[in-house]
Amino acid sequence: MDCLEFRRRLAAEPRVRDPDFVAHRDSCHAGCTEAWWRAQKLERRIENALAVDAPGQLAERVLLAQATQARARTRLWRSGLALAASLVLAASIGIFGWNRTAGADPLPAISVAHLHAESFALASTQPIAEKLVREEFAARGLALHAMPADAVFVRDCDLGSYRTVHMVFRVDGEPVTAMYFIGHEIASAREFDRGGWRGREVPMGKGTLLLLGADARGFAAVERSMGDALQGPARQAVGQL
Amino acid sequence: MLKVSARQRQFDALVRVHAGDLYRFAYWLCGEDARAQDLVQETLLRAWRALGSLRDEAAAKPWLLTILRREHARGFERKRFDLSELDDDIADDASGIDPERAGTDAQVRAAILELEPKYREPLLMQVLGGFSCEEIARELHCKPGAVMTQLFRARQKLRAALDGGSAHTKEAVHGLP
Repeated sequence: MDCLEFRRRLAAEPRVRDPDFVAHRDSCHAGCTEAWWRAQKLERRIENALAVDAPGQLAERVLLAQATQARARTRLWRSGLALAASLVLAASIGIFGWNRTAGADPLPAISVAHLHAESFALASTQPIAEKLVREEFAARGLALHAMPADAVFVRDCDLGSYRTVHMVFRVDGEPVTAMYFIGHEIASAREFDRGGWRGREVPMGKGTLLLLGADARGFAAVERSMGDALQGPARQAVGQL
Repeated sequence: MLKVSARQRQFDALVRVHAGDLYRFAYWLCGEDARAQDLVQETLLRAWRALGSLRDEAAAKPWLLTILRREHARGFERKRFDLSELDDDIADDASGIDPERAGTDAQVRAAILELEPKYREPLLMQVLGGFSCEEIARELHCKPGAVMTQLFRARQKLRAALDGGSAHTKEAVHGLP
């Protein structure tokens, strides 16, 4: 580093500590050491002038504002959730009752109603933490063998009397909803169309996996992923043999 | 006993550690004590909503300062017509200044206030924010060389103002220190 380069650097970054810069400062006999000291003096004056004290209790005031805002949002969210839950429950009971009378499988209707009630889940795009997924399943008494790939949403939900884990996956950018009904076993897989959604029910472990999407293109990937997670890859392979 | 979430604890720590630095940056950016406090609050509340995106503790301060700059820019657009009174407000407002330092600091503060925003902002980012030239360049969407020039000119102007307008001493050839 020569004197001109040193002075340019000093003028823009007086606090720099690069080895080349420091070596030139300590070895130059053409006034660079003195220039460095002058620059440090100016820098101290600037730092001192800028160092105004923050108002007392600024942090506490911010925390109070945050706590107040958070409580207001929680109240609003709870009110909305309670309303949505009431509507879903009413819809579920109605649909369930109608389906029982008709002797039909209730899971598609209940699942579509719940999907509409929690439609915000379809907007999720970011991968979720494995820890969170495992916790949600653990809350339902299930230990996962593997993390389901491409999961972007998970929540344990009660759909009427059914205990489920509600998940959303992104397959080629499109959302696929998966609801795992714990303890409700069906005899065989079947496809259905309901409320404008394409659906598939699959017996899986000690429950039923129900998939919903705009079409069935992402179903195979999610079914495989959930099978690996709930039953383990080896068991799935044996099952296929 | 009240259970506090990990997210809330992280936010509390973030506020307590960085509120002072944010205030100083905001104060010199906008020049008003009340507006600076509002900016700090708006910045931290926005940070609370986006706390999940903060992965690295070391990145907290630059992250917060970036939010603050954007909040200020939004406010600047809204309050464009109030700016004529900006410098007068700062000159009159000596709150938070140590009285023993006020004499010498007043000269420097006045000189800083004379700086155009294009010189003042990178200087604040470097001195108060601890940003490197490369980081400032990324934030301001310009080249590092341009940032170095702005920082050089900012200090050149400050030095000239503090030397009574005569920066052309023997040691200050071409404005270099």
